[in-house]
Amino acid sequence: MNSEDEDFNDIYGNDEEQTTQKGTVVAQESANVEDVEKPKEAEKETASSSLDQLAALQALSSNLTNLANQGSSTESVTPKAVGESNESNSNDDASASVNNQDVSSTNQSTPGMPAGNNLPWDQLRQTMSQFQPPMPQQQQQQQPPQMNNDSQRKVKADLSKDSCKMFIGGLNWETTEDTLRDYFNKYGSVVELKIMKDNNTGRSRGFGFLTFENASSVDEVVKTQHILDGKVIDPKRAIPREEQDKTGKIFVGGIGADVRPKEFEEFFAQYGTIIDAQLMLDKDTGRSRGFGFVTYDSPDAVDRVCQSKYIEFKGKQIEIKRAEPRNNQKASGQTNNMNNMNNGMGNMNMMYQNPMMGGFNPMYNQQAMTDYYQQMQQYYQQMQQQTGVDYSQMFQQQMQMMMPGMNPGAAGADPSKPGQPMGGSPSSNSATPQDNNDVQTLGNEQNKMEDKHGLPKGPRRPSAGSSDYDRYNDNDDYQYRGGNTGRRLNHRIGSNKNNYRGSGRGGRRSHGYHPYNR
Amino acid sequence: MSTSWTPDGSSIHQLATLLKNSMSPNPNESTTALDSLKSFQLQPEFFNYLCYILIEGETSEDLKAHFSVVDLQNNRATAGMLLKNSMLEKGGFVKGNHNIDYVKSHIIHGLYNSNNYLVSNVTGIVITTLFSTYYRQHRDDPTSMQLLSQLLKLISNGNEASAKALSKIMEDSAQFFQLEWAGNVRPMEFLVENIMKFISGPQFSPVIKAESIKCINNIIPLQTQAFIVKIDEFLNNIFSLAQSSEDDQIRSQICVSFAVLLEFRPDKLVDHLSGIIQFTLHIIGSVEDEKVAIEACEFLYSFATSPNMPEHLVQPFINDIVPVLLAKMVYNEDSILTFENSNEDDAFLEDKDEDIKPIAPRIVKKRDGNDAGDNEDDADDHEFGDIDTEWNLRKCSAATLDVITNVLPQHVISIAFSYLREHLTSEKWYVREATVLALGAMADGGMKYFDDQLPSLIPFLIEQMKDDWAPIRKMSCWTLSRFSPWILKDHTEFLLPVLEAILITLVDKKKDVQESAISSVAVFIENCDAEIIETLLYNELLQSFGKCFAVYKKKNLLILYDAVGRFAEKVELDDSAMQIILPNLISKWTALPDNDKELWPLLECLSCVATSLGDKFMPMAPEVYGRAYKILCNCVDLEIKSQNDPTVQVSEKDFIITSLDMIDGLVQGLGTASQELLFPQVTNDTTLLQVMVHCLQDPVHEVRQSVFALLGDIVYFYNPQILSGTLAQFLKFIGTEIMHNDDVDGVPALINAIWSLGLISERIDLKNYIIDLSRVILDLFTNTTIVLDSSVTENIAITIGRMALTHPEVFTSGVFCSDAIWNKWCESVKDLDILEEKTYAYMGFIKIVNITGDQVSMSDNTLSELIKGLSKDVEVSMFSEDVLSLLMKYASKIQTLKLTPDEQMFLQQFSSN
Repeated sequence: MNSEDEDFNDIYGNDEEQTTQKGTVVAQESANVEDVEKPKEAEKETASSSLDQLAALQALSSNLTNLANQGSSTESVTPKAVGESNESNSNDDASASVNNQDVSSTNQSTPGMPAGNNLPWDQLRQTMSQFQPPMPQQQQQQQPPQMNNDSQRKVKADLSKDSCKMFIGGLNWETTEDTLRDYFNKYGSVVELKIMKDNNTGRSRGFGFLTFENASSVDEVVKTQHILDGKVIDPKRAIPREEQDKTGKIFVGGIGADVRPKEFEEFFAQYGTIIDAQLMLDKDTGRSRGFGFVTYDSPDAVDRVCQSKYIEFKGKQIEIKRAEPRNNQKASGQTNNMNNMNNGMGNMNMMYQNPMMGGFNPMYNQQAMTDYYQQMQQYYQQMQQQTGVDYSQMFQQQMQMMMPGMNPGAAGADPSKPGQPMGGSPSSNSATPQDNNDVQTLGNEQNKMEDKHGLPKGPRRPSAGSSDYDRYNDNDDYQYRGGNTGRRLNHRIGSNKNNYRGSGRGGRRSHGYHPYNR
Repeated sequence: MSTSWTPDGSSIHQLATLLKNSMSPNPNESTTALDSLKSFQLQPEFFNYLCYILIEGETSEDLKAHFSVVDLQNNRATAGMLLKNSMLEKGGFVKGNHNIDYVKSHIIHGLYNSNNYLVSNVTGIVITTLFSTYYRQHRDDPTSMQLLSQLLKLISNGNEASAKALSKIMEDSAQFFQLEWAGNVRPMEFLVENIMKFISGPQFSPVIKAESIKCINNIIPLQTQAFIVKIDEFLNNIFSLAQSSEDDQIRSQICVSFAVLLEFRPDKLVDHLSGIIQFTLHIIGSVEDEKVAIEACEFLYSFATSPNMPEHLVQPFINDIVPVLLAKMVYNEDSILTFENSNEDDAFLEDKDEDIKPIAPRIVKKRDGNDAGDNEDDADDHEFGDIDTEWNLRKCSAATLDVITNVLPQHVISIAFSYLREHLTSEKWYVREATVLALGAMADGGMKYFDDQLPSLIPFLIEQMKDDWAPIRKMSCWTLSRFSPWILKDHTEFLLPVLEAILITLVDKKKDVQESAISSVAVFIENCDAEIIETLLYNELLQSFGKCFAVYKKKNLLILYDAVGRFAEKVELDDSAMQIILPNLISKWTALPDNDKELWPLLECLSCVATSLGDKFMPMAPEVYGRAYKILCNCVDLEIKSQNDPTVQVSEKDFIITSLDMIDGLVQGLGTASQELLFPQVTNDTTLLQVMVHCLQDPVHEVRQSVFALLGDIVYFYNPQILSGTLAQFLKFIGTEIMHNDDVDGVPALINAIWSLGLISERIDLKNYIIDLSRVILDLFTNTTIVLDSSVTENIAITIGRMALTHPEVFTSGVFCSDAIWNKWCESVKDLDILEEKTYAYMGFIKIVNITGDQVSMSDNTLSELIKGLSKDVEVSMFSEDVLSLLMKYASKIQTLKLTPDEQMFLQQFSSN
């Protein structure tokens, strides 16, 4: 089994075989019960990964939207408007998709509900409305329809927009652009396609990109599992750049070990449309490692799910955390305001948080800095114990230098008193680089390196050229590193044996990482 | 000239069949066909036949009757390539006494029909080869000039294939066209004339123009008169093309032109710098084809690094250049998509063998000079998600930012920071990533100007190592390692927090990040004072290494070996290291077959570990030595065999080097105790020395470097008697090494040769050899025409001292006998800090000075240098009488010298005697 397969299994569960069987049965049942028109398709889809089901759901929702459009006929029917029209049907539509997910989670059935484009809108809607959304009351109150519209239009990741591009992973090394094109052409006209190749060997790197003429082809592709040249390949929808930022990711901890990836995904689908759900599995046992990630297509979904820190899931209190970049975090109540003021506020935030603005903003990571200084103080104590030198004065100096105006003694102070130990709020910490400089400089700039005394440094040995290790011109790198050319550079520090020798080593190959070595 | 040559029908047919079969997918069939073709190679008409098929392969009625259309097309190309290869083969022309009249007169026909891209391309290559092999040596052959003028004619008729052929010819043979050819013609003049027309003529296609500029780019470095007179015209032409042409090829070549001119005629560019920089920046910012943008960026790189460009000429453009570079350091869209689709943990996935690039034999690569491609650049091409393997605009921009920061740190940083400030906390991970990369790229040049920012930047970078995005964690590790000199020099309060974060990242869930983290650790270890590691980091590093061994997959293991090796070099390993590191290394070592390249880093690592463990390594030593010795012998064996039988495949030199170093590591670690291992008394086996002698004949510097190192250590630790059989040979090769010192790459080998000579002469009386060797050494020491590496000079000085311990007399007359040289000697060794060798060096030198007597009158300066050197790190008691008599002699002079308190103290110990 190669890595991609493992990968595949790890993400989507080794239990694929089991769930497939179970799923098939269930799906057949549900197909009978609900009298859905294409049982064959449903059956086929049960074999597909959970991601495919998700895509199918998305496709379904978009079909619903189209139907809705036809029905109301007041909305524009361009595919770009999907997101919008989605909202215009607001609760109906949102709940429709949630409903659908809910079907899965409550009944453990219909993975991959067949596309309902053959059903008359009303009939489908009826079917759907049997399943009331388990939306928290709060949420309903908090987001009256019109507001909901407004915010969603702004922040929801519009997956339909410009999503003709796909990332195709897990390709067989043998698969060529031609065979790939042949394969995907049946889903629609492929306008651009490339398999990424190693520049030196020309060998395929097992993944590529392709662009369909129509976004609908992408929808079709993600519905099913694909096997090409004997290998399960992994086509993923490429989310357009500007849309990426509108998605939201959460971290989920404290999950029971018995939770399966599918359950996990189904559970979280009730809060919104999932782009990606990953339950981390132990590779040996295949069991849940107790945590995972869910990416929703909108921050709203994240807000919904994060309303309480803990949620009950399969008899356990699981912990929900936003996993998106720190700066994306918004106080959930302020979502709308934040969005309206996005530009102004966003920039200001950035300025506060920017370490280059001369010192850290305590609001930014007060705790981190406090921890940091506490830690540092411990290190100094440790050094003191080990070396017998009193570093306390030096420590104070360092503190002074790094945090102008700060009382070093307070470094270890109670972190629950924000502001104080860090030398104040942003305003009091308005130290520009120049300010910083004034405090910091002991000598003039050039001498600074040499001028600092009392730091824990041992006797220095010549280390000519050692900084060349990573230098861009790799001529030096490969020959003799670290200035080992000289016979007199001994390597036996602390040993009384022969202290001098030739530089036997021709320098190592530098295996290490360098982002721009030629 | 026998243009009347006609091929024999059946031979053509036979050859065509063989050509077809040689391309057969059936390996048996193709091997048989290739063998038969080989035997044909000796036929005098072979080249003509191949050329016939290349030219007439699709028109010959006879062939058409017997082969399919596809076969005919393929045969033409195959014939062409075989023709080229046969011509290039060593002595290809001589061996078969080939007739190539048909080739000379007809090859041009391959270009006529330039619709067939493959054939015209192959034809171009054949013509190029014809010039670079045959015509170069037969410049009096008039057909060469005919061929050239036919080419030019074709180009002027718009034939693009011919333009491509001409640029290939110029690439290979431009310098030869400066010479006289048949008819006393110097082709360069009419070539330049015509090429210039192709560039300026509006009727010529972009391809022809681009290829013609490429021709000129190969001519510029020759500084030939024919071009120098046209240089302004050329500049005008490319400037106007730069403004008017949208063609990528042309633009790309123009960028190359600027870079070449920058190197050879910077004077011509200075007045146009503003336009040129704007042009290249425009290209970088706007062009779709990244290759073109890279060329433009390469120009900026050359511009920033050119010794011909004084800083004040670069400075005005920093404002424009830096923002563009920063913008282009963001991953491109495809890369971002790839990373975003592969951000999942992958640490548990095994590396596939094919994902690990073969560790390119660096030596061969280096000697090639123009190594075909950077197949070693980042030896990291594994699964998707890693798209960092090829040279691209991002890397080129980063490299340029790096060098330009070195030139004008303050300017670059002040501009860059205003941009970085804006983006450091960007919500887009790839923007943050690029910002972190930019900080790392500027670290080297701008370190001290970061002083104000670093105290807050470093905690920020530490935070970044917790980012969700693997590329950010990866880059933060690297960038922190770039600041390691700053941290380790007077900012050690950051060391532990930084290292702790990196150590945690060592076992990141993403292999890419692990790679960067372990590389970063290696850099920190390398730059760190041994004392700091010993007192503060030793256990933590060990524990971390242990964890890494448990989780690392093949590829990152290679870097781990490197880091462990550095660690072992830095500090003496103790028992806990034995328990944590050694079992991992040994089990790997046992698992790998002798011919596995993974052995190289492992051997390097083990060698350091063995040295560091010393006696504690003894239990493992016999097995390790046995295997290293076996690998070494096997390689040497194969090499000897291959000299008689070219089919024998020799191993990479790295096997020899690393096994020699492994043995040396044992010798250093175990000292005298290892003698029984290498040269067991019972068998009296000194084969290893023979093998070493053999390796000294190796043209690869690194091999000799390792041999000399091992030789020195053997001499140092073992009974000198062991060398009795091979001493003469070793001394001969040492002499050769010292005399052939002109290769910069060979400096480490040279140093080790000189060093080992010193040790030998200290322990073994060189008798007859002393005269010759002292002369060789002195020739190098007194040479004023070449600039020696300072460590070469230092080593020579020490070796002179050591040789003088037994034979001071050879230095008391001749070139060494002068105050100036004495002064140089004192200069070279006064700062040595290793007691033992400094003592011996001065012991020998004082002997020389005392014996030389009044022939040389020591100057005040030399005397004061001498005292300065003697007063520190020298065990004077070992030769106090010699020192005393010297001091007595110069007593009156010494009183006039200005001495430091240390030096006065030093002198007082003699006066009290």
